[in-house]
Amino acid sequence: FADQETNPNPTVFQRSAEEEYINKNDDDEYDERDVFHMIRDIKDPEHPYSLEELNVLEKSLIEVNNENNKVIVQFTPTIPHCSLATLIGLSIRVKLLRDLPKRFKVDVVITPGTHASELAINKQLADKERVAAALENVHLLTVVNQCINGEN
Amino acid sequence: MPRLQCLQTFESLNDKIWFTCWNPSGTILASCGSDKKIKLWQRGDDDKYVCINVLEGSHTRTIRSISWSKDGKFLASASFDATVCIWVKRENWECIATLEGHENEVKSVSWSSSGNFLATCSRDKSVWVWEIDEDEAFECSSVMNSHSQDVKCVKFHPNDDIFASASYDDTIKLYKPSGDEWISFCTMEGHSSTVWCVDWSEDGNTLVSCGDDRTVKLWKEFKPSIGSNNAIWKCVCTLSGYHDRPVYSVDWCHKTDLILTACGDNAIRVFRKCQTDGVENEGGLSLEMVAKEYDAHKEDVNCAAWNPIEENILASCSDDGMLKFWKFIDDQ
Repeated sequence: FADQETNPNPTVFQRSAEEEYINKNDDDEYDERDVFHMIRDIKDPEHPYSLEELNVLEKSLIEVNNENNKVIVQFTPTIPHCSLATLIGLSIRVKLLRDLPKRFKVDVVITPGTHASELAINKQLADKERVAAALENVHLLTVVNQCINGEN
Repeated sequence: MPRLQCLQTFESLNDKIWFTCWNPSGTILASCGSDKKIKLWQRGDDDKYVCINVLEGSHTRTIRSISWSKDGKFLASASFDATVCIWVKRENWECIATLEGHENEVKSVSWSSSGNFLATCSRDKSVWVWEIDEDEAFECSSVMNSHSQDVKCVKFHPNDDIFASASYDDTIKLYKPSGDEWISFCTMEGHSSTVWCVDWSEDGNTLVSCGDDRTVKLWKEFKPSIGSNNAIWKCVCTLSGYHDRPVYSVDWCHKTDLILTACGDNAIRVFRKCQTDGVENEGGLSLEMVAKEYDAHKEDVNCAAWNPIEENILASCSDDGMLKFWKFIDDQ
C-alpha cells in the first residue's frame, strides 16, 4: 500500500436522481438498477464522496443475469495507480455478499485498462479464501464497514 | 446412469463449512469451518450419521482444513489464526499441542504416511515440515520459501516421504528429505491461475490438481533417464469445459480410482480415468465424467471427500452451511 499514489483532487460528478426502490425477495428478478442501488453510496476510503460521485461505479458497468444467477460489477479507480483500489473492490464485494440473495455468483473486477495492477487486484478480489480471512481481521473489517456505512 | 444419491444433510446456520475428510478406517468424518469448531460424525445403530464430538476452544478464527494421521489417533487442524492444533483421543478428544510459527493464515495441513512428519502451508508463502518424536513432541525441521505467493494446499504421498504443495502463484511443487532438511525438487507449471488442491493416485505416480482456471489436470511421473537424478513430472491431461467456476477440491479414491471434484458452481462431479492413444498425450491418460450433481449445494462447494474404505460413500460441504452425505450409484 505505502509506495503507491492516492488521488488528492478527484473529479466529482453529480449524483443521479434517486430511483424508486422496491424491496425484493430472494427469488425475485434483480436488475442493474437494483445492484447499483446497493453499492452507489459506498464511500471512498479517502474522500467524503460516494463511489457514484467519483464515477468509480456506473450503472452501465454492472451486468446482472438472473437466469444464470450471475452479477459482474466493474469499478473504475480514479487514477491508474490508486493504492486503495483493492479496499474499494473489497467493500463493493462485501456489500453485495450481504445484500444480494445467496443464489448469485458475484464477480467484482476493475474496468479493463484503468489500473496498473488490474490483474493482480482482480485475482485477489476473486480469491474467496483471502476475502473470508480479510473479513476476520478486525481492523480491516472496521475500515470496510466505514466505507459501506459512510461513517468515520 | 451412474448418479449421486443424497443420504443425509446437516445444516449449520450462518456458518461456512470449509473442509471435510474421513479417518483412514472410514468410520469417522471430520468437518470444520467458520464456527471455529471441528465436528466428528459417525454412523449410529440406525445406520444414520450423527455428530459424536465437537472439538472447540483452541482456534480463534476459521478452521480451514484438517488431516488425520494414518493410524487415526491424531487429528491436525489448520486455522486462519496462524496456528496448527494437534488433537488426540484419550478419554475425550483433547488438544495436546499448538504449533506456532506461520506469520498468518495456515491454509492446509497433511500427515506423512510414515506418521513421522507433518507439512503445513500459509498465506505467508512458506511451507513448513514438522517432525514428531516418540514423546509426541513436534519440532520444525524445515521452512521452505519456494513459492512466490500464498500456499493453498499440501498433501503427502500415499507411501513415501514426499509431498506436494499448490499455490496462488499457479504452480505445484514437490518436496523430499535431503539430509536433515527438506528440499523442493520439482515445479509443475501449467495452471493459468491459483491451484487450489492436489491429490495423489493410489500408487503415487500420478497427481491430480484443480484450480481457479476451472480446469482439472493430471500430472504423471516419468522416471529419470540414465545420468539424471530426478524424475520429471509432466501434465498428461487437462480437463476443461466441465466446471463453470473455480474448482476448490479434488479427491482421488484409492479403492475405486474415481476422482471427485467440488466446485464454486455448487456442483460435485465424479470422473473416471480412461486410456487414450493420442500422440500429443504422452501418458495416455484422460478423464471422463461419469456423474454430476449440479445443485449439490446452494452455494460454493468447498470440499468433497470419498470414504477411503466404504466404496462410493462420500461427503461434501459448502458455504451454505451444509454437510451432506452421498452415495455414488454406479449402475451403468
